[in-house]
Amino acid sequence: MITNDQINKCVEIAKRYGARRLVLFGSAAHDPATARDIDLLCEGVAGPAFFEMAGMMEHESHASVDVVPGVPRTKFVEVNERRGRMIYDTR
Amino acid sequence: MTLDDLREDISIEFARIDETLAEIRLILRNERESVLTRSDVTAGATYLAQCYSGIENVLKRITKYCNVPLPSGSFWHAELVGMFQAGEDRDPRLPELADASLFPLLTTLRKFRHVVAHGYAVTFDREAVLGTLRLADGAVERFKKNVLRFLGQTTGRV
Repeated sequence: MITNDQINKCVEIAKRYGARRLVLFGSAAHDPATARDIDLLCEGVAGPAFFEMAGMMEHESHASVDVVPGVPRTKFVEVNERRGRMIYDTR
Repeated sequence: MTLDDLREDISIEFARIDETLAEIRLILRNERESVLTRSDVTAGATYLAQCYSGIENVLKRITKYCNVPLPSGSFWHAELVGMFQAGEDRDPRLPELADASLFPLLTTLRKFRHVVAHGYAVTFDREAVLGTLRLADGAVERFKKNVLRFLGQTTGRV
């Protein structure tokens, strides 16, 4: 089960690392009660900081978190952005 | 497990990590000469992932030596390194091996390893991989120093 608090914690950490956009996709976006992890698309964080942010999300939310770069805009990114839910956007 | 066993196991692990770091240094040297292919970057990512696996092996051995249960479940990778963080939550039987500035670096390597293990190498971000490779030496050396300090301060069976 994934809670809103865990998702909000990920948003808070993404902001801390300077993310511009965050999209929740996968099971946590559609059925958090049965989800086992948090899948996110993230734009605005590059280099090693991206991995650090992803690890800190996991550490502080106490959930398994998979973060995928939102750039470049691959087919995978486009599909999951369409199916997912925007949870943070600075644009 | 005796302290001598632990020291021996860790020295074997550190030797393998050192050999792996040497390969990473070679790749970074080639980067300066601008001759890196996608395969070189993939090799570098794999070497770095293996370095973190080595770090986890050391953490697991110390956890067992200190008679502390190993974390289990899908979240155990994050929990394992978290058990060695500074702070009040740390089991007093375990040494502090990941101070406030080293912990984020180890977290970077841990998550990087996850991406390498589960992602397609053809989608790796070259600059992100190279940037993380550049962190490896410093992070691993600091970790080793903390482990050696712990081993130097420890006597007999815990």
